[in-house]
Amino acid sequence: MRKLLYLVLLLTGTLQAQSPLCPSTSTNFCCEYVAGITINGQSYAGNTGFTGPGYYDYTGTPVPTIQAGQNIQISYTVRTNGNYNQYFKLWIDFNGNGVLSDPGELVFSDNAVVPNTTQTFNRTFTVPTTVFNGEIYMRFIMVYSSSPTLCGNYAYGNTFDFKSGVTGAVDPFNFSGHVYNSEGIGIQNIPLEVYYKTTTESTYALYTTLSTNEVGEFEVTTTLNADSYNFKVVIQSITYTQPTTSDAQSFNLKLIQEDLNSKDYYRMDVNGNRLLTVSDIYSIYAKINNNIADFQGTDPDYRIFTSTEWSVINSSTSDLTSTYIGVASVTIEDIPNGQTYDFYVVRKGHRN
Amino acid sequence: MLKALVFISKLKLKKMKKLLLALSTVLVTTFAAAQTTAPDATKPYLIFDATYDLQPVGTGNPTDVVIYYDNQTGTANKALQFRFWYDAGVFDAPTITYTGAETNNYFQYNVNDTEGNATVTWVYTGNDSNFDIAAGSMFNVALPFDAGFNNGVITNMSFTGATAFPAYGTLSNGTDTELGLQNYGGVLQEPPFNFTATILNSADNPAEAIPVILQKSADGTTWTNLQTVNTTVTGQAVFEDNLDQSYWQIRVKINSGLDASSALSTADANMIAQLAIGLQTPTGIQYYTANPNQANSITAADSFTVFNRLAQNANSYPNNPDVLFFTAAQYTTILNSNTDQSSTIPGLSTFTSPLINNTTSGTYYMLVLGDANGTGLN
Repeated sequence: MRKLLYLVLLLTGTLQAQSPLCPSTSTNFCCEYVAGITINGQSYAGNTGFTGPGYYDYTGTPVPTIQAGQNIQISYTVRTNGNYNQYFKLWIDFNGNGVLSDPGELVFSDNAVVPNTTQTFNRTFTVPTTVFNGEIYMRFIMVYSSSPTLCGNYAYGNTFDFKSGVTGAVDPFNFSGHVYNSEGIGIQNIPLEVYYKTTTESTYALYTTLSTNEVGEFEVTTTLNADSYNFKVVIQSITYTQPTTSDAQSFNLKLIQEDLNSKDYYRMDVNGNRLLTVSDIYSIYAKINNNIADFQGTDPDYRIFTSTEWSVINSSTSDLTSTYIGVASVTIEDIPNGQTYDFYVVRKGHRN
Repeated sequence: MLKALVFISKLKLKKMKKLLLALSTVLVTTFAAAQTTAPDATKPYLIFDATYDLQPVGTGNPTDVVIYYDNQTGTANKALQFRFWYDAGVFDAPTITYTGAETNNYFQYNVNDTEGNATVTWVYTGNDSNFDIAAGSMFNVALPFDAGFNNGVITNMSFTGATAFPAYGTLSNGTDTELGLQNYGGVLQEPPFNFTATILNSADNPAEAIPVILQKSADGTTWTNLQTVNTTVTGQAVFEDNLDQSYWQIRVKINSGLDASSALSTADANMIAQLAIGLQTPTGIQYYTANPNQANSITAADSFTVFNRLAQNANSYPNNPDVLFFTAAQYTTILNSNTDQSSTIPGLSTFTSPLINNTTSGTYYMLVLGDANGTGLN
């Protein structure tokens, strides 16, 4: 008996798993429920009695792909055991930014007194042509006696979450990438500035600032039409820190094992004489110990390379410092939508 | 009186010879001193000494090769990198240690045992801006023998080899400076072997100018002559060589054919005649020295043999050697006997000593056939 109860709880729990959207559910049940919903031809079951549950996550069973400009049919069947006024709302995250409260994303808001019976409501809405292509989330809520809010608990009714895709619309501008160190490991907290302008404007304005995450990744997502805007990204002001003894020891090991390659001319040759020797190792120790104020030479503390440059540097063994100089800051303009950019930062005296 | 003067002169000559011997020893010691200093003051140097003594193969211990550092430029050096080569056919991968006194350092090495080289870096890691690498023994290279090594030829230690690696020192500001690599030889030689062979006519009568040969053999059958040293006035032949006593069998040899004519006189012939007819009783020694024909003990024929040789002015006997050699134990037995021991202790005309491994000296005796009065070969 206990095992059967546990199985029921498991099944119920599966149905009630939370989608990526904010939590929303009914907490009381007595007098009404949504028995089922059909969207764009795909049917989804609801309650079968007046006992809940209050939330359904159907994001794992996507609604058939929606075409921009298409008229979408939605029908929902409601059952009550009295004359109760029910409120209905449907939100669709048309711009795909994970937030359903943006303008135009409340698709409909309605209410009706449903007598002691089962009643099916049919609605039609048109998908705007200005929405963005891609994955979208939907939420349908029925609440007794008050207008549903997007998130949170309420007394009576049901919440349904859905997922679908949009095609035939416009693309929002987005791009992403990584900032790696010279060992190909992502660097966290590298600051980036993202600027934008319309295609007809001449100057950029700051859109947002962000930093790389723990794996060196950055991701810029906008709600702006990629066909109407230009973007540029700037990486600058990387903080240079003192190398450590482990850097010196690591370089020393490379030296005696003759495991030296092109990138070492950027990071290990701290005295800037284009030779990789024990003097570079000593220089790191001397700088750590303040025996020297700074490294010899005029090489910059760090250099930033594109992935194209780095692929050459990382696969060569000769001194390429005069061929690939690197830069202290990176500005990329007219970024194509969806483009991925990877950058490599090599810091003088740092193995990583 | 004349004899007394001659004796005194010989005594002075012997003292003079001893003095010369002592002086020559000092000179040899001076020339054999380690060569561990920089050849010039143009740059700091790492240095291989002229020679290094191998460990005995049988001990299983690694051979230590010290690399020295010297800097006479007056400019401080903070770090160094270099590569050296060893005989990978003789040694396994070495263990290298920093033997200097500075504790603030980062020392690493990488051995390529296929090519037989080691790449070494040493970096000062402290905060003393005046630090300068100290001169003296800086690295010890402990070279273990390959299992199959049998004291064959060993290539000298070297700072140059097939795959070059640049040598550098480091100035105070962190820039490179040239590092010299001076090799005074780097010769790996077998452990020192010192042995003194003393050849005596009798306990107080050293045998001079006897050519003693030092020999070695790997199997006890085939012997190789290493050096020949003539005994001095003290009867001593001093050998200073490099021989692994744990591997080689070592002995000394004296070839037959010595000419002992100077020890023979008519007095000997007369004495033999008296011994032959019983006017004198022979000693154990005289059973050898008064029996130059080596037959039928002491007879008139022995006396004739000596008279005849003197008359002929010959420098040898027709059928017998001039000299027979004995070990000290054999000689003592003969000396303490009043009977003829020659049947059990015949002596050797060509002397080969028992093995002298792990000894520093040995005393051997020789008896001159016909020298009945014991003049001896001097």
